[in-house]
Amino acid sequence: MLKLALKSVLLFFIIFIISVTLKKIIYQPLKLFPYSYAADDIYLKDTWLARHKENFNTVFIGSSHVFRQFETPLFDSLIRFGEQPVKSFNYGIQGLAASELFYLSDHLVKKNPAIKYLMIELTKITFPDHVNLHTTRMFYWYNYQTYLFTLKAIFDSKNTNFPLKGAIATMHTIGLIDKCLNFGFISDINNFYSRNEKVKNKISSMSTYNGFAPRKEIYPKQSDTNGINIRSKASAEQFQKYENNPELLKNYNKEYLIKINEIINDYSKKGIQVIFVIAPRADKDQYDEVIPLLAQIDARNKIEIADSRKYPEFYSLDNSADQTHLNKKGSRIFTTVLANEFNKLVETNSSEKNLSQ
Amino acid sequence: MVFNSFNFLLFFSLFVAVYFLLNHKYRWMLLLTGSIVFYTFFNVYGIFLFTGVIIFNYFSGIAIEKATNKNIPLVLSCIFNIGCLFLFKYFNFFNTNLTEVLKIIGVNNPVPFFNFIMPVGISYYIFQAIGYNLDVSREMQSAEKHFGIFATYFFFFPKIAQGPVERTRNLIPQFYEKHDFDYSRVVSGLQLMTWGLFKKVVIADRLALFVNHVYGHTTSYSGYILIIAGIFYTFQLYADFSGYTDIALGAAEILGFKMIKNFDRPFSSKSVTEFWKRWHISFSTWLMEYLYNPLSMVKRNWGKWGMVYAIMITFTISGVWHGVGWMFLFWGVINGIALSYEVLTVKFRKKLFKKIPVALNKHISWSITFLFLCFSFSFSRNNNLSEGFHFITHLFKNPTTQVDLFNLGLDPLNFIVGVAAIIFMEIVQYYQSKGSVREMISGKPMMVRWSIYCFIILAILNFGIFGTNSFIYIQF
Repeated sequence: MLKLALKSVLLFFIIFIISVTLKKIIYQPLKLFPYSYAADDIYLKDTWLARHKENFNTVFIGSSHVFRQFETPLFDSLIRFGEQPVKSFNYGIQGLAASELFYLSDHLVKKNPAIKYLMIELTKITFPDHVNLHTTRMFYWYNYQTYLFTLKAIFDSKNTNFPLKGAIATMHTIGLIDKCLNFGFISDINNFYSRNEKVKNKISSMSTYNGFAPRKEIYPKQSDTNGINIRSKASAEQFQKYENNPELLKNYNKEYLIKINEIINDYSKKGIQVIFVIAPRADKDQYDEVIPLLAQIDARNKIEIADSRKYPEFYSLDNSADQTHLNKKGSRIFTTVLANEFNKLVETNSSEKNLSQ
Repeated sequence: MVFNSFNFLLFFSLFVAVYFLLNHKYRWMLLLTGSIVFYTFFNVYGIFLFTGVIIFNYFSGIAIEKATNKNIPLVLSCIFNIGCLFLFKYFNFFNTNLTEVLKIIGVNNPVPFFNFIMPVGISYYIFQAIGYNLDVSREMQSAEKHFGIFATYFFFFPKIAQGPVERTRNLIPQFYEKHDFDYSRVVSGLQLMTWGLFKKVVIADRLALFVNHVYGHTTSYSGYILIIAGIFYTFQLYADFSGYTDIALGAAEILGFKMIKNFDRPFSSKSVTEFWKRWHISFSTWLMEYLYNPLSMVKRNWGKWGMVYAIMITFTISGVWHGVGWMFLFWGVINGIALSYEVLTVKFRKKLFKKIPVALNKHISWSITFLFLCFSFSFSRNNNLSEGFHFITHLFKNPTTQVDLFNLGLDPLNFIVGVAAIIFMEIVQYYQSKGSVREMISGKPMMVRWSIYCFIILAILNFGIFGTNSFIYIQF
C-alpha cells in the first residue's frame, strides 16, 4: 500500500511539472485568451468596457448585490458634483468576492484609464461558489500573489474557526492545483469561442443599463419573510455588537487590511479614488468580518449602507426579489441612498482638499 | 455522486484506505455504509424505496426457497418488483398518455399524477432482484440468509447507479471471501478507472457538446449535420456508458471484486445479433436468461417464428427498460425487427456471402451493422416522434441554409480532438482484440509504462471537459 502511495505521489509530481511546463512553454506564449475568459458575464462586461473605455469614469465592482441593485442611469442622474458628468458602470458579477474581485479590479484599472471613482463591495474570503467548483471560473484568477493573499487572509480571519479555515484554504489550494494542471484547458478554448458568439448577440443589451440587471418581481412567498428577517436581524445584531463594544473593532483581519490599503494607495497614484462599500443582505459571518475592517478604513474611502436599523427599507418584503437581493423598486432605493452617500463623500473630500490648498 | 467528480475521488481514496485497514469480518459493514453514503449524494429519499425493495426481496427469497409450490411467492415477488418499477418509473408516462386518450373521447382523467423524482438505479436493482428470485426458484442458488451481505450486494456502490446488472450468484459469494491488498490488482483497477475516465471526459462529454446542440434543434438541420450528429451520438453513448462501466469495474477490482464484463468491442460486430452479445452484456445476458429463453422454449413448436416472437417481446421490453417514452419503445422494436430479420434470413445470407470474398463480406457486414446501429441509436436520441421522423426524412437532404459545422458546439480544434480521441479509442480496442492491453502495458519497462500513464492523465486534464455532466445510462 505504501509502495502504491509513494508511486502515486511521484507520478503526480511528474504530471504537475509537465503541466506547468506545458503552460509556460506552449499555452501562455500562444495568448489564447484574455484574462476574463472564465465566465460569460465577466467577458461580456469586460468587452463592453473595452469598447467604451473613454465613457465611464465611475465603476462599482462586486457580487450579485451590485449587478442586481446598482442602477447606473439613476445613479448618474443623482450625482450633482463636478465639471464633468458622472457616467457609471455596473461591474457586478454573480458570486464575485475577494480575492477574485481584487484580481479583476487590478485588470479593470489597468485597462480603463478614464476611471476616477472605483466602488468595491467589501466581502469576506470564503469558499468558492459551489456552482463554480472545478470550473474555469473557480481558478482562472489564481497566481502566486492572489493565492498567497487568499491564504493569509483566510488564516488571519478572526471569526472563522480553524477547521473551517483549513477547509476553505484546501478548496483554494485545489483551485490552484486545478489551474497548474491545466484542467480542461483545450475545452476552454471551445467555451471561449462559443462565448464569443454569445457575447456578439448579447452585447447590445448592455447599452440600456450599463451592466445593471434588475429583477422585476416582488418576492412571492409571504412565508419566506423569515429568511429576510434573519438577514435583517443579523445585520442589526452585528452592528449593535460593535457599537456596544468598540474594542472589538480592533479585532480585524490584518492581512486583508494590508491589501485594502495597498489598493487604495496604488489606485490613488493612478488618480482613482477607491470607495469600499458594505451592501445590505449579507449574512452574519460576512458582517462579522467586514464591519471591523471597514472601521479601519479611512473615512474618505468607505460607505456603509447595510445596517438594517438605519436602512430598514433594504429589508422589507415589498422591495425584495428574493432573500438576498432587492427587486427593481428596492434597487432604485438602494441606488438613491448610495448616490447620496457618494455625494456626501465626494463633497467632503473636495472641501478637505480645498482647505489643505 | 458521479464517478467523474472530485467528490468521488476523495470518497474513493478514503474508502480504499479504510477498507484495507479494516478486518475482513467488518468490511461488509463499511461497504454497506459507504455505498449508502454514495447513494444519498444522488437522492436521499430514494434510499427508503431501495431499502424497502431489499427487505421485501430478502424475505421473498427465503420464502421461495422454503415453499413447496415456489410459483406463488415467485409471482408475488415479481408483482411487487415490477409494480415498484411501474409506479416510480412509468406511471406518469402511462397517465399522460391515458389523459390524451381520454381527452379524445371528451373525458377528464381522474387519476392524479405522482410528483417525485425517479430513484437512481431503480431499473438496475429491480432487475437484479427479479433475477435473484428466479435463480432461487430454479435452485441455481440458495436464498441469502445474511441480511447485511444481501443489502451490501444491492447497495454495492460501483454498480449501484448504472450496473452492471450483476447476478447475485456471482457477487454475493465474493463478499464472504477475504480480499487482501494486492499491488498488481490495485494497479490494474486504477488503469481501468483511468481509461474509463478518459472515455467519459475526453470523448463522451466533448461529443455531447455537438450532439446536444444539434438534437436540441433537430428540425433546423438536415443532411450531413444530422449524419455527423448521429455518428457522434453513437460514439458518445458508447464512450459514456463503457467509460462508466470501466470505472465501476476498476473500482470493484481495487477492492478485490470481479464483476461481469459489460462491453466487448461492440462496434466490431458484423451483425446486430453479435452486437447484442457485445453491448451491455450484463443486461443482454439477463434478458436472454430470464426472458428470451423461457419465451422461446414456450413457443419452440413454432420453429423460427417462435424465436421471432421471443425476440420481439424481449426487445420491446428492453426498449421500455431503457427509458420512458415512445422513442425508446421504437428503438427496442427496431432492434427486434433487425434481429428477427437476421434469424429468418440466416440461410439465405450464408448462401449469398459464400459467393463474395471473405474480406469483402466482413467489411460489408460490418458497415451495414454499424450504419444500422448509428441509425437506431440516433433515432432514439430525438426528443419526440415528430423530431424523429424529421431526422429520418432529412438525413440525405441538402441543408437548406448555410450552416457552419464548427459553430455547433465544437470549434475546429475541439472537433479534431473529438475525432482523434475516437480513433485513439478504436485503436486501443483493436489491440484489446489481441489480448489485454493492461497486461501488455504492465509488461513494458517502467519508462514506457509511466509515459503511457502520463500521456493518458495529461490528456484527461488538458482535453477533458469538466463540469456537472452526468452519465447517460444513469437515467435508465
